[in-house]
Amino acid sequence: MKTHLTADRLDHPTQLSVWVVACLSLVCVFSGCEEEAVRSYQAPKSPAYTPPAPMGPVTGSGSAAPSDINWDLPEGWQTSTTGLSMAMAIFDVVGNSAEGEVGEAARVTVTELSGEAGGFLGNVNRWRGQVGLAPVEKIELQPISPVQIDGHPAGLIDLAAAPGVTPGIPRMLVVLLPRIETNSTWFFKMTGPDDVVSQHKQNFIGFVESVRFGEAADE
Amino acid sequence: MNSGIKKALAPLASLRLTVLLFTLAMILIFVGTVAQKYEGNWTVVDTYFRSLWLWMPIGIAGIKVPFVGGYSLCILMLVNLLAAHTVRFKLSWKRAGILLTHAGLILLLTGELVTGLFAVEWQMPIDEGSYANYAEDIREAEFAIIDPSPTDHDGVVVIAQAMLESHQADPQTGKGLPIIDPALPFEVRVLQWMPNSGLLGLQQINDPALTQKNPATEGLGAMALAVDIPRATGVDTSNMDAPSAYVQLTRKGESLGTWLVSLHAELMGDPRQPVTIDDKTYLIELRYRRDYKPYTLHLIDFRHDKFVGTEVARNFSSDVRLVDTENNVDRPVKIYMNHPLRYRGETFYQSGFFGESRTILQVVRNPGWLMPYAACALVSLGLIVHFGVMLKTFVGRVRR
Repeated sequence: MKTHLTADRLDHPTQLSVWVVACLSLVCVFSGCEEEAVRSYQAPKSPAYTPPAPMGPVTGSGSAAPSDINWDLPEGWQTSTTGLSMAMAIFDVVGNSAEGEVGEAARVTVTELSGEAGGFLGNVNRWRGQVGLAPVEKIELQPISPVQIDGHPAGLIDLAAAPGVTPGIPRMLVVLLPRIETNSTWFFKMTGPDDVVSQHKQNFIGFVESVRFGEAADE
Repeated sequence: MNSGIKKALAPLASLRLTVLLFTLAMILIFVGTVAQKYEGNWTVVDTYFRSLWLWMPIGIAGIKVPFVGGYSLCILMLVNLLAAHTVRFKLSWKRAGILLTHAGLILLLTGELVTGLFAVEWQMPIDEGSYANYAEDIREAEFAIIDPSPTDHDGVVVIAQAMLESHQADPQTGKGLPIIDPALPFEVRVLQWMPNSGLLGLQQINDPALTQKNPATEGLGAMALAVDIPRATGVDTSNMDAPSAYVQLTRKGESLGTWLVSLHAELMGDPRQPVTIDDKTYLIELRYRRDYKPYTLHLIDFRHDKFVGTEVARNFSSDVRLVDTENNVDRPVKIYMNHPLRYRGETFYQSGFFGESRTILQVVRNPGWLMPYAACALVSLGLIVHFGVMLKTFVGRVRR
């Protein structure tokens, strides 16, 4: 072996470099055959364009859910028709004041977004920012309570403004459900004055846990 | 052989060069494997293994050094091996094993080159009750402008992802060259290209800081905001990137609005968005690169059986109907694990599913698929022959 190595010593560096350059140029020529960047062609006729269904809230009573999802709507929740949104359902939840009068309303939205919809941590920090809380560096630092939706594990995040922060900042309850089957994330969100959200927190959890996928709403 | 040629080839036949190339290959494979923790599998394959050279991170303060890529190593190893045989070629029984083993290695290296250059691996999603006549390359997007006005076909113009990336406006100055082509009904200016993105809904955009950032004026962009997110890595559960782009369309200097086109758009319904110019409507969409087939696959039934009482998959299968009018083919096929459909040089594997009624078939065409098998057989045979020859020599020596 030793004899070989001595005999094979690189005593022709110039020749070697010429060879290496020649080989690499060949590969360059090979890999240079790229496709043109703008192509035009005739394709088989695709289905006619269907404008998106109004993104606004679904209407109706009872379950008030879109075609392939169903839920039990808590008593007193009103389907809202205000605002154009990607939310598939919006409900207004009215609180009662201590004197039994009708108070301010909280809003519940149900939205399905593709993929991770901006990332778990990104969303949590955005919501934290909206209620005046500092962002967290890791998702583990955000308390999340487990809930079950149609057999899938989901997480409930309860965000309230820190004491001493300007009053009027809403409280927020969010349930996040990532669904691998459809590569999407479902957001169930209740936003409103602290007292109204507190009154309806159990109703909100009950509503979220009543969600069933792949089941048409009652007509 | 001419001694001049041998002299010229001598440095390339060096065994030191072989050792150097193997060492470089080991470093490249090690770093390329670790890189899959931080980057997507195919990005790593293209950057590290199917490239001539690359900037390799050394793991210290983000410093990168130039390094040889897989193609260069592959070519240099081939040249080294061929040169060595040219310079030192001797046909004898004693060397038969070595010759066979090296022939196997040459075949293996050539096989990888053939696979790298010519193999395609696409996906074909089909909904139950529907059909597909194209496959998608989920590693590359394209911006499609569709003219649906002809009665028997669609006129399609597509702009490749590479061109969208290269024409992206400078984020600081906002300046960039528009994409102009005679085939295009309008000029396309790419304001922002996002290799992987998340889509935020109106509830999320409600944040004033985000609303100000929204450049879109039309269509989907008026209801959603795309944000740039890190590209999927090889160890992520969902390792597919979903690109989005903000494009400004102009015709003869007149703006047709700024549009958000996104691979996420399908979830909102029809992913195509109408753009009307002079009473003619075009449809625009960002989609995975398509390859239309001269045949169709109709999905009759998709089954996803689970073990009773668990979420563990027991079986995936797709009952499809293959229709090829050119070849008078119309037959049912069942595609399931380890039982792909082979048709017109392509192999269709059961790869995945989406929801309960959409199957995802993997479409593979690799002209070099047999080469690694033949190469391994040759190398094994060569080693057996070489071992046999050595054993015979050894036994002879012991007897003497």
